[in-house]
Amino acid sequence: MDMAAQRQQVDENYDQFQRVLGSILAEHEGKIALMRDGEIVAFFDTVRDALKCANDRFPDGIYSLQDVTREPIDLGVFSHAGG
Amino acid sequence: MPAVSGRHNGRQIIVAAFVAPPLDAQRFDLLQVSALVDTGASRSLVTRDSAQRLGLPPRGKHPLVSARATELVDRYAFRIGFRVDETLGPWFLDVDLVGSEFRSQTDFQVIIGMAVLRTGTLQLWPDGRFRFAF
Repeated sequence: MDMAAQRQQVDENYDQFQRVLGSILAEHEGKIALMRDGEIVAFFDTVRDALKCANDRFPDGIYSLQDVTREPIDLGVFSHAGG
Repeated sequence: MPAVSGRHNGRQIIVAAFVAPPLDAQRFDLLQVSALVDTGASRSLVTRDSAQRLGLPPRGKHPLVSARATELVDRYAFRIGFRVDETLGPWFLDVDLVGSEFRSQTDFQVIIGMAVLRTGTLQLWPDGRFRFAF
C-alpha cells in the first residue's frame, strides 16, 4: 500500500466528512462511513463489514472509515493520570 | 466462552494481550502488548508505535478528549486477543476495531475501552482477581 497516498486520503476524507456530518447525522448516527476520494461510499453497522466492503472495492487499500458521530473519544481514567 | 484472568493491583487492571491486523487484511502478524482495562474509555486505543510496528495504515481521524485538551488523532483498524490457555495461541475477540492512537509514557500500549468490554463479562473479586470472558 502507498502509505503517503493513504495518509492524504485520510486527511482529505476527514475534511469532507466534517462538511457533510451535519446532514447525515440524523439518519446514520452510530454507523461507520466508508470513504474514498472525499465521497461516502456506504454506511455500515460494524467495522468488519466496512472493511470487507472496502477490501473488495478498493484492492489498493486506499480508503478511510469515519464514525458517524459528533462525540469525541474519551481517553478514560488514563487521561486524568496525566497521560 | 473463552476468558482471560489474572490479578489487578488495586488501582488498575493490566492484562497481557495481542494486537493483530483486522481479519480481512489476511495478515497474521502479532504484537504482544500490555493492555489497560479502562471502563472510563469509550473506545479502545493503541499507541502509534504499536500500530506502526504492525504496519497498520491510518484508517481515519477522530477527536480525542484527554485531561489536557481535545486533539485530532489517527485511528487504526485492528483486533485484540488474549492467551486464554498457555498451550494454545492467542484467542482473538470476534470483532474488528477502529481504535485511536494515544501517547503512552506508561507500561501499556493498548487501552481496552467499553466498546470491547461490553461485548463480554468483566468480573472483579475482593482478593484481587479479575476475569474477562468474551
